[in-house]
Amino acid sequence: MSWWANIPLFSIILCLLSAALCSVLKAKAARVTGYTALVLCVSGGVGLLSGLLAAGGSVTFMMGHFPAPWGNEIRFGRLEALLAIIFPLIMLMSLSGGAHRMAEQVTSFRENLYYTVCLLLNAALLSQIYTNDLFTGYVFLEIMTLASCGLIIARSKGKTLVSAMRYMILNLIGSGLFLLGVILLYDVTGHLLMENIRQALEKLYAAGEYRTGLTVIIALITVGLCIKSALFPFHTWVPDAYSNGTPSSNAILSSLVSKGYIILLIKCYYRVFGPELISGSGINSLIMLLALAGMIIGSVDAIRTKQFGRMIAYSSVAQIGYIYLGIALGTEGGYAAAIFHLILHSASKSLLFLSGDALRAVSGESREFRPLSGAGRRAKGAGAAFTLGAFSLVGLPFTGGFVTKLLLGREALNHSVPVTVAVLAVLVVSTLLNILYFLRTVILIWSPGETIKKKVRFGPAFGVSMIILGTGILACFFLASPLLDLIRAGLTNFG
Amino acid sequence: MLQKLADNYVAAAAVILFGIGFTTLLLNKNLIKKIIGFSFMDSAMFLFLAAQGYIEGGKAPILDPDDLTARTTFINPVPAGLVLTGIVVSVSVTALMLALTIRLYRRYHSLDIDEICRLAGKEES
Amino acid sequence: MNNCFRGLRAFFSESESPLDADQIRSLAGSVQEAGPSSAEMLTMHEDNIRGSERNLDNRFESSKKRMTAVYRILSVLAAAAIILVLLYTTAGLPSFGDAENPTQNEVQQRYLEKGLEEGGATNLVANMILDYRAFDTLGESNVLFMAVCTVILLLRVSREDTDRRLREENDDRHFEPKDDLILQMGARVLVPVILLFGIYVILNGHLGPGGGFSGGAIMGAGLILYLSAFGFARTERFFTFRTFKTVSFTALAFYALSKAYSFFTGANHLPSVITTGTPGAILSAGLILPLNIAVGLVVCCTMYAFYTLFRKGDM
Repeated sequence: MSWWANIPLFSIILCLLSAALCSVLKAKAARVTGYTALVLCVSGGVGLLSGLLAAGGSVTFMMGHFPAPWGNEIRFGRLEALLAIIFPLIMLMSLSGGAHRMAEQVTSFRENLYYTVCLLLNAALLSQIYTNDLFTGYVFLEIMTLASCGLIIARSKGKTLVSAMRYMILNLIGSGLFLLGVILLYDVTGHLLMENIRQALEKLYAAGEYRTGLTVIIALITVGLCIKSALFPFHTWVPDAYSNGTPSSNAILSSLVSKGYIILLIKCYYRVFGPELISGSGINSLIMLLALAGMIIGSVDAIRTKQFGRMIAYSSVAQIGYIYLGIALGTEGGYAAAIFHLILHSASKSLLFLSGDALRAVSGESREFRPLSGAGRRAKGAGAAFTLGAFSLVGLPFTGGFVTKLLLGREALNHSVPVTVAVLAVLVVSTLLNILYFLRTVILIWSPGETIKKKVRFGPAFGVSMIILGTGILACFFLASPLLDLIRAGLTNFG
Repeated sequence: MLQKLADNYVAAAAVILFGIGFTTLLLNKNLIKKIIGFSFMDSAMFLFLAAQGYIEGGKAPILDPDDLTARTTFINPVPAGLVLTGIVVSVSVTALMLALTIRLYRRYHSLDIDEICRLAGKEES
Repeated sequence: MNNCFRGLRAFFSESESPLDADQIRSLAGSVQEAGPSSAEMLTMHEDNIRGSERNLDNRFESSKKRMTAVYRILSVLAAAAIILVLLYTTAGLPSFGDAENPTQNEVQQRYLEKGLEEGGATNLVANMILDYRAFDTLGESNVLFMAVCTVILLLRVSREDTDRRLREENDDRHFEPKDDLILQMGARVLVPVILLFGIYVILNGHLGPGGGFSGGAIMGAGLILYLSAFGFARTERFFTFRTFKTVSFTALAFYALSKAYSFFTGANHLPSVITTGTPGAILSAGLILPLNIAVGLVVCCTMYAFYTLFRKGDM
């Protein structure tokens, strides 16, 4: 086996070890440990991707001395390697972009635990990307749930406690349904490993057994993961959870945690159930309906809200709708569009939350819109970054969002006429609504306002993370075709 | 169908328990009762899982140290291991929820989620 | 009433201040006036609550009431639907206790037949969770660690925050028995027995029923009993927050490193220095015994930590 095949194992173990280490260190040392571990994870991902690009295909890696179906195993191809670069990178950028707020919002005697939580979350995300076993997926999914709760409550105020509670209640229902689905799946197939389940399911499907049971299982797993990744109408916990924590927490929660669940869902669809079973169960039409509704209602909510942070949070609901729309189209192009938008959205949302927080910091920490007037002139870098992120989510040309909309629209043309019409109409309406609230905000922050607000220094770490995230968004447009080729090639080994 | 349900009586009981827990979680406003509902859901799932591993007349999969070669019928060890993992997860989540409840109660002197939300909203505006 | 809220607002701007009785009463009054409200509706309307307060408030209250009723009906329907669908599914599942079930396949056969040879423990479940499917279990111990970290984030009181520390100590004195003779005599007899039994369960985990988690929980219970009987002054002599941090870090690091070694050698088909030993002997079954001890230590510390953090915010 080539040396690079050990990278996934080592990056997961590295995260777990440094998480435990951070819990005994002082804040400053924990910060260094955390950043180092994440940098190592990113570079490990780069090494893995270059190794896989040369070798092609996918690698199955035994976690222990026993092959599947007896032992645990992980599996990775080019797509997994790509995600394993992007997720830790965005976590790193979210942490460094919010570092200037850490001292003020997370007291220093708890700051080390903040890094513990982040690193465990990163380990869980990586395991979610690599795992080839449904039960491992469940265990790490619970780590993600607890970790995101930890991220919300790291900032100690009443509102975060309430939002953490509501977050937990809905998410526990989600994990409960998912676990029930996994148990039922084990009951009818006798396996927990994804590929073995697939083989057993194919036999069952051919024999025509457990037809309703399988539909129920698919529905349970889908609904469980949809609740956790905040697809409309399960999004009621989103605005609170995404707008009250520290800027780093908000960025990580909205850009990474929900994406981890979506990756697991795509894996279930692609690797466990397979396209035949999925299209036979009719779940795709349900998801499409919810996704289309979410794209509209998320945007309408974002227009109606009177708070800046909640507007960004509600726009996540709409954007998650785009990702699910790609999944619901059910074709390989649809999945590619979904994964492309997933990557783009994690970069854009992280950028929006971080720069939005900076804009609020120079406008007297207000939650409302009006004081933000002229904020872009007071903090030019943050203003530019916010503008770029907003343009990308609106889908203006030269940003990645444009590519997503093009891909989704083109993919919809291959479907039946009503589907095509519905998807195109919703895409247009949703874009118009996006323009309404994002451009309104962009115009507001650049319009002349008071200039004599408090001077705030953000430090170089903030600038670096803004530049890297912004470059990422631009790269999603200018390097769209190699990126999409990579995603499509990765998808061929994903199933 | 009723005959099949009677055969699978453990699983049926587990499913009903799951539903009870689910309803408690959704309908009760009291946070402690919500947590109890959640524990119901989890225990029901463990019951379901443990029932899947049972084989008529099977023993716990532990070999007799005096006679290692003896092969009696054992139950399926996989669900047993999964239940173990599940219990740990459930304990962790319960602890976190209780800790959250303690903090909320200290701050708002109420266990009613609606009232807590209301007080939190007032405190903000 | 408005004045009261303004007062409250000022009051709340300090962190973590409990409300005092008067304010609660007036708040509760206003809540009763308003009638029940659903959590879901609150978020939707929260953005709109400010503004011309009274007038708007009333309108929202009535719509909230309606939404609460709708929400309750919908949740009952959802729960009933879930139960019915799941019952229907259960009726179609393989029968209970049947030896021909799909779960009785080659996977569990190998665990039962070759488990002793390959894992070395006579407790075949221990083989499965700590050897065959060790990655899950590694994740599981980190779930527990994650939970204790979040509980610390939530409840631990900083040493600098003397006000809150004092208040917590007072609360503790208020609710817990102090120097209760019956409890102390009982604890003197029981605690050593409980701790010994916990150690037995951990050390015996690869030979019979037991293991790290159950043994650790028993030991944690013993420590908690000791604390309840003799108070923090006695336990702080041997168990502080520092002890907790060191023990759980060491155990987790050992767990992660030893499993990394075994995953690495397994996946790369390298020879491993870990042998299974004589079946049935106390020092056998390779890594299972040390891992059980590590898990046991983590669980014992975690249980004790949960208790002390819930009780007074520190150890």
